[in-house]
Amino acid sequence: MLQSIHDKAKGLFAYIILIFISIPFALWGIQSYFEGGGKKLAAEVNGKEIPVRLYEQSLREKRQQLLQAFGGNVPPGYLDENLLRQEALAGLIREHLLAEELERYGYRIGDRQLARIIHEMPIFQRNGRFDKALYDRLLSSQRLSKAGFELQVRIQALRKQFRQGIAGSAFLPVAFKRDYLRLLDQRRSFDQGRIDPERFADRAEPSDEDIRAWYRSHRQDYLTPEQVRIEFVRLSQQKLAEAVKVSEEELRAAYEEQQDSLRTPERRHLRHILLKVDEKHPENAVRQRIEALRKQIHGLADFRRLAREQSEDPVSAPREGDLGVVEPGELEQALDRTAFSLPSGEVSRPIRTARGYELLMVESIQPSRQRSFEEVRTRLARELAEREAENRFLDLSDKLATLAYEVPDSLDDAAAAIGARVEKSDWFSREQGRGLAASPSVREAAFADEVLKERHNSELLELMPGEVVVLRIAEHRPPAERPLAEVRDDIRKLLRQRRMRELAKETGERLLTELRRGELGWSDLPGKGVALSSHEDVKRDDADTVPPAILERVFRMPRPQGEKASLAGLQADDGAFVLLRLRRVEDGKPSDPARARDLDTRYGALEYEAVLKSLEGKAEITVYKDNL
Amino acid sequence: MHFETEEQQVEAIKKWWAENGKSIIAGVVLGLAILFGWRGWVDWQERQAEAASEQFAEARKAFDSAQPAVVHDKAALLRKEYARTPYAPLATLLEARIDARDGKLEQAAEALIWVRDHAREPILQEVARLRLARVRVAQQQPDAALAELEPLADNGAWTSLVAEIRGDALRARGDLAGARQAYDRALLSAGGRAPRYLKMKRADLGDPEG
Repeated sequence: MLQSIHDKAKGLFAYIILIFISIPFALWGIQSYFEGGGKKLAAEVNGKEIPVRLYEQSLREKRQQLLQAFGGNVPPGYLDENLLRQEALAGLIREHLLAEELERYGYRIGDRQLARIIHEMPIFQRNGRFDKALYDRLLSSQRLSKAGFELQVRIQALRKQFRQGIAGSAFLPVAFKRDYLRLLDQRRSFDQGRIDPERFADRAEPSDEDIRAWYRSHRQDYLTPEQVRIEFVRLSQQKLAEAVKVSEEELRAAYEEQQDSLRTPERRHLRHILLKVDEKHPENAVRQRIEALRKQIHGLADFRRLAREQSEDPVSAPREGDLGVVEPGELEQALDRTAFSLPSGEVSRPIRTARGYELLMVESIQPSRQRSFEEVRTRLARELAEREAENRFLDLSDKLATLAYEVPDSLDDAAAAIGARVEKSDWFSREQGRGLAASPSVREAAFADEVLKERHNSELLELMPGEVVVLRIAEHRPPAERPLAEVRDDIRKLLRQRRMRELAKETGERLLTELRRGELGWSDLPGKGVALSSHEDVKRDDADTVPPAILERVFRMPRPQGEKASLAGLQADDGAFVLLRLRRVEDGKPSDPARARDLDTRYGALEYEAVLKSLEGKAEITVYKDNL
Repeated sequence: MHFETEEQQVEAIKKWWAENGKSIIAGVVLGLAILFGWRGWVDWQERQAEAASEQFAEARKAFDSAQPAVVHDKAALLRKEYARTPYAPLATLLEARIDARDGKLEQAAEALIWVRDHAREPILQEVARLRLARVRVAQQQPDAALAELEPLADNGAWTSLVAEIRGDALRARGDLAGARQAYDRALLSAGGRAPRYLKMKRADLGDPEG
């Protein structure tokens, strides 16, 4: 058939067909054919599309960052998937808006400026100067193309310019800074009158009826926790490794294969002489001294004698410069290089090290040799077993995951497929458990709707690298009411506490009103069972002497008017009611406004945040929730 | 049309060219001129922006190494030669910061007014307004400060910062109840990110007894 099309498709007819075929390419480009049709959008920002692919990538990066911040294991509750999604999308939208703003208003970094920025990056510098070879090597080792990297640097530099241009030019006028310091250094003198709740202990005992009534109306608070027992199948790479048998032939073959890497390193017995360079012994003088010293050495005997007499290394000098037997990489780099290139019995040239100038002599060389099969046998066996175990682990965990998913209402098939047993746990709750249930991720998985309500197998959980588990609910104990007898004492204590607090508050508020009306003087308070204390010149952050909540209240009280002190009262965290009398407010003395310099930074950050929000506010943003 | 011979055809083409050739050439030349002119204009703008960016980077460096005179020079140059780029207002904002630090409030205000009136980028105008309002408060001109904040009032992004400066202005005017209200609004809008200075200012006004 194709042949007949070909035959007929000549002349005008062929051109028409060709034109029709090329229209879609011209309009949508060839890409859409490779992407498999229309791409899904996460959002549209001022008409610019943000594909779901970008969003998902950003979400992955966010998760990765969180994982890294917690060292690989995020405690449950910290990974708020919804929040993460929101942040990922909001971040992308901001990036787009920012890019648009920068492009539109002519923020630019030219090639020359870009080069300067890259040249100033310490990572590409050697001896304080940009090193082109180092630059190329680092980029290729990170698999970065030069164009791609330079584009990234340019984007970062532009964003920095904008951020710094706004946040870095923010300032508060000096008058504000003085005002800030005036408030910051303010001191207040006040009196406290404490009404202790314990005072009302004998009036606070709840009746039996009170306790019963409380129990009836708060049943939800007196439940046994919901508990489950789970069945699980566990797969451990370490256990697999223990079970792997490595045959003699395999070991032999591995030994043959790896011969090169199974050599002992070359070892050298070294002696050295050190002349220190420090403030008293300048570089040049030491260099001349060591050159002179070097000329006096004509063999090992000279070297040992001079090391004992002249070396300034307190450890090795008494041992005639002996450094012992070393392997490559054990000494600092400059010494290491010479130590393993110097012929035996010769004196090295002076070597500049961190401590000063040193001379080296190689006393003897133990050459590198092939390790025997017997020497490396255990190590090889372990390596082979581990490698084999790793392969089997990957293979089996795949099988485990697949079968647990395909047969969701039993673990027997999954266990059989990997040759493991189904184990059973003890009872545990959402909050705590022992054994396997000590792991928060196991508890979280067991109480997930999919597992608890639907009674399906869980997904494959990674407990740690090389250890996975699949679980399902074996038994479930819903929360149950605890009998009154069991909780009676808890309720009694609780009600007593509450009543004592109430009484303290009632008394305190009554006294406060009487004080304000002038029916009562501050000095009458001790007679009413109130414990008084005075505090002079307390600063805002003197939380050692006064609890923070009280301090905060004191600094929110109106200033005393003339002789009339101002009054306030509050219930403290421990239940005591505290009466407060503010006598004096002393503002901070005008001091050096430079102390308030961080104020500029603080407000700069707030302004920049507002700038980004303002850009968002003006933009037309559509979020396609269904695609996320 | 139908031609008997090839000569006839060539003749016809020549004739047609004699009639229309000039206008076609003129059209092509004009088209190319517009195209290249446009490209040249765009290129020139890009080069201007890049040059301004470098000048601004130098101004920023001078600011960091405490050379205010250089910052002033660069800012003046940017305003003169590169006023259409964002770098002229950015450098001017930096100038305002230096002036304010040196206690030259009127000069700082002038710099901010320039940014407010000449920046092409609306967001920089907003920033300049906000800072100008603070300078007005510091200059004991609370009414001028309040007027400056007016256009920002409807922009939700600035709510907290604007309300805070409103509070400062009202406090300077002696309207403590109004200041209290403004600070409360600022605190509410800032949520957990309220600066300590704002909290202290609000606390210091106290709550009326009762």
